[in-house]
Amino acid sequence: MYAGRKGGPAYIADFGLHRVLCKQQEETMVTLEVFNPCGLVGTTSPHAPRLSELNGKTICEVSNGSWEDDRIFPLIRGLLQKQFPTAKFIPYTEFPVGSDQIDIDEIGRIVKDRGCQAAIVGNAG
Amino acid sequence: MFLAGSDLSPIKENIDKVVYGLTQWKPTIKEKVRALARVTVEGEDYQQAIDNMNLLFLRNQWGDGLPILPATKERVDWILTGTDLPRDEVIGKILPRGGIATIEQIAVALAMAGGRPEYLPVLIAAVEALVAPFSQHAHMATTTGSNYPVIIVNGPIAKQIRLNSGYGCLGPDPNHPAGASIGRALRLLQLDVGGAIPGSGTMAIYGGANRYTNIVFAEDEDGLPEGWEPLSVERGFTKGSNVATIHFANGTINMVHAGTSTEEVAMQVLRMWAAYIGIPNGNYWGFRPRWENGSPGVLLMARGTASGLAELGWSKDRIRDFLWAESKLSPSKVKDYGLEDGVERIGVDPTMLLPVSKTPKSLTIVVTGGEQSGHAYFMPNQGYTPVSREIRLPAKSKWDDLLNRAEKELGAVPAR
Repeated sequence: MYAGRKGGPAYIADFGLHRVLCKQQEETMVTLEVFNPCGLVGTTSPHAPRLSELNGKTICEVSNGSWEDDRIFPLIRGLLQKQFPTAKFIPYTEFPVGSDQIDIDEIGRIVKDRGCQAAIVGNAG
Repeated sequence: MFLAGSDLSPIKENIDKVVYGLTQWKPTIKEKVRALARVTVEGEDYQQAIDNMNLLFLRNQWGDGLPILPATKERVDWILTGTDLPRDEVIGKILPRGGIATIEQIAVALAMAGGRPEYLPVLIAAVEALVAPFSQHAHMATTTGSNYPVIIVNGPIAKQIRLNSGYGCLGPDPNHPAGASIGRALRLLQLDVGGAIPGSGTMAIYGGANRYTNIVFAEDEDGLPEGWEPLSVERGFTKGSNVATIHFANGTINMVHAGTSTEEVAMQVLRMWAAYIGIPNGNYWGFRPRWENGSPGVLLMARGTASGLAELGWSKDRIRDFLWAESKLSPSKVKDYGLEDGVERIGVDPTMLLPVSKTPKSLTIVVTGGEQSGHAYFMPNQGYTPVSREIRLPAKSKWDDLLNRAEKELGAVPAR
């Protein structure tokens, strides 16, 4: 939509195939209204609530197979194990590996079926 | 930190952030679907309002940095005359941001890019291909590689909407404005709906000029030698179908060559093409799904080159077989270029000659470009499986009206 505010000298504005007669007023401001370019944002699956504590929990690793996951996941696992000694970790090697293997709707079920209460998903790309 | 064997101390220094993410972080979004409000700008006159709109877009990190046309209700409604699909139909989410691409939102992007309604069916098909699972568009959007969509269009729609398959087919060209508008609209969707902003949504180290309008062109179907099928037929569609196929390329190589008039010269040309294709492109071998189902890239040749090769007995498949065999890397080169890890990861023996793809059939060959031989073009892939989608037109009477109006406004359709 494009509109001038009040009366005054008129002029033609051309956009697309539509010619709009615009009247300008003593105050010459005109208003242009356009669609937001970013569109709708949808949350089909809300984020899962966090665990209050990791001790005693089972945490799995899910990897897209990229960027030295064989170094990074063990490192993170080791650091977390030190902070949470009774947490149990299931390494990424025990799950499907690769973007096309993990970017699927079933990944949540696969993780849950292994008894995991949290997942660490990686690894850049 | 992304280089092999590099220092991982930033992970140790930030482990508490990982713990926070697993234990204390809380989501802030509660609604299932949120519509974003229209944007209003003012100016002393229409020109200033447009300028203010463009400044606002830059401040909000919207658009591609170049001036855009205002996606007013009137302009978007006009663009939507290019389809019979309901404006609120969802085509898919564009990642990494996950914004929803509806028919209306696609029309908004085309309006901003200066497009016309008759381009909309191609753009819709391109978005359908982009968000299809096998395209792995999330990876392609966010990666450090500077890839961009290449959209190849087959069928009568190409000429009807002035998509180029002749001289300068990759653009820019005022006689064939469709490709640039469609490609730019696709990029605007990737940026704004998909959130692929450099440094946050996309980590592409370079980006590149090809990303502004991506690459959108038509196959020169009239220039195909006898027995050479259009890309759309090779991808399983009936001849004459309107089809859009997407690849994700990350480079362009112009290959100067002699003609293809004699077998000796043709062999020199083919060997030279094989040398260009057989580059140490880590993307050929890095990921198993890409290796299994992907394509090493898109090879373009002009109709003059194609007819010379065809007259010498070369079919598309025979060319693929030759190029695949000739472009293999030796084990010593695999080692010299540090490619062994990637090769082993896809289950290939790095001590054998290494082809650029699992099978020769995956190399995409398209006849397009100016008339004569002398140059070919190769666009190596970073992407996974090429994806094709049928282009859906509106009702015939509506389509004919659009084309008639385009002819009045743009002049007669060019011969190619």
